[in-house]
Amino acid sequence: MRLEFDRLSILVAEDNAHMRRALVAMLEAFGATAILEAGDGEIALELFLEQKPDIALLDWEMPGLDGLALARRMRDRTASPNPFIPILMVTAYAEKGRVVAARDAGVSDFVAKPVTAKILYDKILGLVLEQRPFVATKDYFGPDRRRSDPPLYRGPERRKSRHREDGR
Amino acid sequence: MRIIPAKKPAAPGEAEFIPQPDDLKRRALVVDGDYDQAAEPAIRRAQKALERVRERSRDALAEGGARLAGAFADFERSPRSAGRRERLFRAAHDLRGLAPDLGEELAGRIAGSLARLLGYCPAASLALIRAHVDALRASLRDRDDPLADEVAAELERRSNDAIAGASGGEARS
Repeated sequence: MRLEFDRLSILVAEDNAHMRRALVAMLEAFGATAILEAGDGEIALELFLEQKPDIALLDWEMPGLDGLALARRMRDRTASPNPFIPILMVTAYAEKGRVVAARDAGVSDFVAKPVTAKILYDKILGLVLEQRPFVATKDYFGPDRRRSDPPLYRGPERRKSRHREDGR
Repeated sequence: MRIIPAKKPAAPGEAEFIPQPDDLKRRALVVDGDYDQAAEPAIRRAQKALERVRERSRDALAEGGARLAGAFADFERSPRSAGRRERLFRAAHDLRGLAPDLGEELAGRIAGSLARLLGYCPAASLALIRAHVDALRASLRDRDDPLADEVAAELERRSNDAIAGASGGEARS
């Protein structure tokens, strides 16, 4: 199983020039040819709205619009050209509170700096293979934040759910 | 004629589950061998590309250290300035991401501790901030200092204490 990276367009939003170059160099080595680079969140949002990339790699801390705010804009069903876009947050911050905040913004997955080629490849492959449904509530749109269905769980269901079949 | 009832819209408080579109999978996923066989050459190429970028970025660490020192000198002259604090935070945050990627784990730890202190603790003492900046300079200058690890651990502990003691601070990092 492998990914044909030349069939994907990938947005890289990272304000640190070295980290951005490192991510782009790895993606190019994987075979990606359509890479959109942004050094801040505002430019990243513009590129997302105009070029509609397939996958987004976002740094958390960026001047202007940060990665979290950017993820929320991307997941905005009323204004986003692709609210289902897989979002990988590339961050030096692994604290639990941050992970929860990013999940609540609709981020699909994380990769902690420093990033290795294997981790990046596996994470992007994971995004493409992702099976979790999206959840839409009054306050949230994004991947189902429950990672698994514990088979032994007998407690009450927190959500009354209604499944849609049409993928929209 | 058969009447098909319209779908009921989700009521407030209800969650709607929507299957993910699988167009990326259809377009870019190829199943033609086992994972290791297929992915390994691409990963090897990428690791080499990463090493080349790191080699070219050696100067970035010294530049980041100088930027942090400059930002701190500005901040020290006017510690209440939000703009100067923000520049110092950004310089520390940059080093936090950059240093470990260039093999400077210790500098990354100290920069991370400083970024957390500035982010979580608006009233952090100037002495503690200065201690971080001095330790960062030292760690980038002398990479074989036997006490450097202890110094980093102590700074992290003091940062955590200051953050725990702070209340109502805006969490940044």
